[in-house]
Amino acid sequence: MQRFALLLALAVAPNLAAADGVPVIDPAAQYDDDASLPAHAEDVVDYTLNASIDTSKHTVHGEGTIHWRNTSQTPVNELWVHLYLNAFKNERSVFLREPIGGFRGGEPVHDWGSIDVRSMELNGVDLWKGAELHRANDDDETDARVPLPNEIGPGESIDLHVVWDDKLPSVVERTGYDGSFHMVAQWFPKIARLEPDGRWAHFPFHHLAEFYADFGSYDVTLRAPKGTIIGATGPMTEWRQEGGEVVERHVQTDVHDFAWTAWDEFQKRQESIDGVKVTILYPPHFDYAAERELATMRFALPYFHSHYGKYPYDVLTLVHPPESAEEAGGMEYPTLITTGGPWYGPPGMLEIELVTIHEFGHQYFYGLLASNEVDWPFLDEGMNSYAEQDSMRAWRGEGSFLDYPGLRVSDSALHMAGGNELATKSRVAQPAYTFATGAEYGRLVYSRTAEIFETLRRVYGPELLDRALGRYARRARFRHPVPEDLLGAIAEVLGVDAEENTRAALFDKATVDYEVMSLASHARASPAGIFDDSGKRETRTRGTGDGKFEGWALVTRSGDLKFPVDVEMTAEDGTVTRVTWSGKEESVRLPYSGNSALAYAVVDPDHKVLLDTDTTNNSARSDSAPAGSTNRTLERTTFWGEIITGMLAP
Amino acid sequence: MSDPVIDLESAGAASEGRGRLEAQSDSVRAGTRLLLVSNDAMRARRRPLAILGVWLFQALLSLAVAWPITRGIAASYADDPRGDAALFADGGYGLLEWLQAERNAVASITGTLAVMMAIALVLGTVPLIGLLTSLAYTTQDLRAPRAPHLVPFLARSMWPMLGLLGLGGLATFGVFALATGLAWWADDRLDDRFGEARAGQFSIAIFFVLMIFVAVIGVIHDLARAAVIRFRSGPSMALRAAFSAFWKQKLVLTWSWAWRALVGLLLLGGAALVSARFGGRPGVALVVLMVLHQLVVIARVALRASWLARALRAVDRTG
Repeated sequence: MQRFALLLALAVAPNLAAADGVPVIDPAAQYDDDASLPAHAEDVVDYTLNASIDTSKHTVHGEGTIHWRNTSQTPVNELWVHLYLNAFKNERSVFLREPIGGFRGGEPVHDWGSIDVRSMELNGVDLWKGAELHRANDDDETDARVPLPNEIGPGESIDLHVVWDDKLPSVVERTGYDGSFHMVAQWFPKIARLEPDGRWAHFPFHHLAEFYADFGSYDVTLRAPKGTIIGATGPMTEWRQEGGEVVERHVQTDVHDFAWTAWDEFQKRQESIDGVKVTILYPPHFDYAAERELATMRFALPYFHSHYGKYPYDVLTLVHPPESAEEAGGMEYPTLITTGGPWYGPPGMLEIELVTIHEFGHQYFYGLLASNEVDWPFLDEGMNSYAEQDSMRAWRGEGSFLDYPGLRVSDSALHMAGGNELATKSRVAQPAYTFATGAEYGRLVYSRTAEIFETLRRVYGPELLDRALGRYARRARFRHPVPEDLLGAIAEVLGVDAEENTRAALFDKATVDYEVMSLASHARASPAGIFDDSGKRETRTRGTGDGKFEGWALVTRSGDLKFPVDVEMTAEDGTVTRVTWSGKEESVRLPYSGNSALAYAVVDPDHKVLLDTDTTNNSARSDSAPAGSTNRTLERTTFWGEIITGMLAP
Repeated sequence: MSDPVIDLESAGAASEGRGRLEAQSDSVRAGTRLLLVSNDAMRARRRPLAILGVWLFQALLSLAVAWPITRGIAASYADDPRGDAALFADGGYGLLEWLQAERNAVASITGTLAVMMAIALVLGTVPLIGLLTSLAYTTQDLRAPRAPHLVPFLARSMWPMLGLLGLGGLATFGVFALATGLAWWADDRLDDRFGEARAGQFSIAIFFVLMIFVAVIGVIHDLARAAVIRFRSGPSMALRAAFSAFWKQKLVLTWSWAWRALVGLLLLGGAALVSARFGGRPGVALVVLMVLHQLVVIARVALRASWLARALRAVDRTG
């Protein structure tokens, strides 16, 4: 019913005019080009902060003002504040006590971290004195509730003056320090997002989950010891040296987070790409890795622009952390991404490029769309994994992961293998903290989602899927989309069947297995038997035919996904015919006719349905047809066996 | 007692090429008597059939492993008119799917391969002895030694060869472990002073410098193997002869081994490039690729034989 209502609304609802400058979803709008992109996000919360880092003690002192506006439809009498750094305060935090392995963040904490809010004043009254840092019977302090003295009505705003101190942990996951390298993320008291219906999207910091917040502006002045190189969200608007300190100011609107890094050993390169000032900060002598990352951006910025809308910010900073702080790598923040990896990677192994393009892709699927990463991780990690493999394929072809003579493996194939691994274990579309293991989370959220959308691309066509995802990305920019927004775009462009398949694959652990059960054919001849024709009964024997053959191929589908597939029939004389089956029934007996007997039948010969759980049953042959040749395998394994034998003996 | 020398040409052995024969000692059985060829006549090009024999050994051993693997693949792809083409298609989808679907079989094949490699290491001593003997000796009628001639050498030389194999393996492992340990230490300890990249580069340099010693161990190992055949000796005398030969011509011998190894690697690289070009094409393309691959294997065997002949000449000069 919900789905029908959405489709009906999309089809018939009139354009909704914006009210009070607040953009609303316009069902009739066609977001197929950048003209439809909103210029700005709804400005909910503005942070004007001053922060000073002590790189020897690994502490940050912060003060500033938070201007927050109630953009919901209900009054509120409390605030919820994220204090993510307290995840590293002690082993009683949700983050550290959740027994989740198999993903990142497995490093032990060598030096604990914390965030201590000293005060949060509203009109001179310190609200923090009444703050509830943790729930009853739970020591986690990452999710604080702050009662308000008065209700804040819809549309009303408040200004909070806040003072806090951070102690950065040793790098465990994303944030922290290693030596003089500091990655300062999730470092300030961040107001949780208030949903339009008045619910607070607050949550403790879970091991597998990431973040979710409102859009606004950040005006942050950073102080660090002289000689420190700083990289931060947004363009640098001021820089000066004061005594023994360097002071930088960064200002950025239309974002929902602010992160920065500080290290005295950074090397820097800058380049303008597609109108964006791209800066890369990297460790000394990592020039080769830096060049590969910049080369990736030279492709990625225009590609993502054409597919998902123009990157709206003036700057982008890439941060390649030192290897000893690799846990700070592979992460995304608005206009700043962290990459990572060794100083040298073999040219044919494209891990550096994959990480760079993946983290950049998060500027869209996370940054600009700002979906709830906790409740719907597949909307950012999964969609971004698809965007990563799609863009890498467009750039590097089928060798987008490994590209060596004789061995080309694509990123998409890797995601396929990862996604199929645990396809029936758990749902893809579920909150991050409900996954049982990090491996499940990684393979389902990242790889299975990518595999689902790659199947859609192959089955329904790249142009249609590109249009659907582009429409979704443009329409949902700055709007915190939910799964129905994505499914709606799929339905609009690819059709209801595609949308049903996508929903089932994401929400219901749905799978599919096509199989050619059997085939048969015979020479066409007049039939034998007793016939009553024109009042006369006669018995006939089978007559000689016209030399033609007829038969059938029995193809079945098991599982709940129903993709249209091709079935290829090959005759003994080598003639090949293809028919398309809708895949809606559980089985079909496809007719065959030709000049010779039917020899082989193959379902999905082009392997469009990557979600097929077993492709070894996708073909069948007649008794008289020769077995498919495996001479390639014999030749290659013999050759390489000889090479290995020659190295061992004599 | 040193072996007397017999002039090949005066003995009417023009078909054997220029050189001299040395009479064998009386300890060899009549009928399978072999005569030592002169130093200059110890050349791989004089023994093409021996080279082909080694190639045949490698081919048969590889086929013994490749055949069951191919049968396993056939179980998955026999019904597909394109056969195993999916395994060779760009992108790796078919390959990864098969590896995932047949992971138990893959684990079993990997285990079997490890065992086969160990067997090949030991069994390979047989064609090695045959090749070295063929390079160093000739029959009474000045022809290449045949199987009955090789049996006494096989019986006498097998254990010394296996002993040298064990010693060489231990030495190689020891140096490799040292190289790995030192490289890891450098990477770990030097990054504070020089930065991660420079520390990494130092560690790689240390590793490759120590790998030169691994190559030297290989050279001395081959010299010792040659000495076992040349002097019909045990491992200790063979090692003395090997060290003596190496000491006299360290750089020449190392370079002699190195350039042949390099050419062998280039041939392999060329084969990989050609394979990539051909892809998974069937029919005539596959036949051409197979012929090309086998020519590469034979060429590598010939390079190996050439090096072993060089080793024989080196140890022979110490006698």
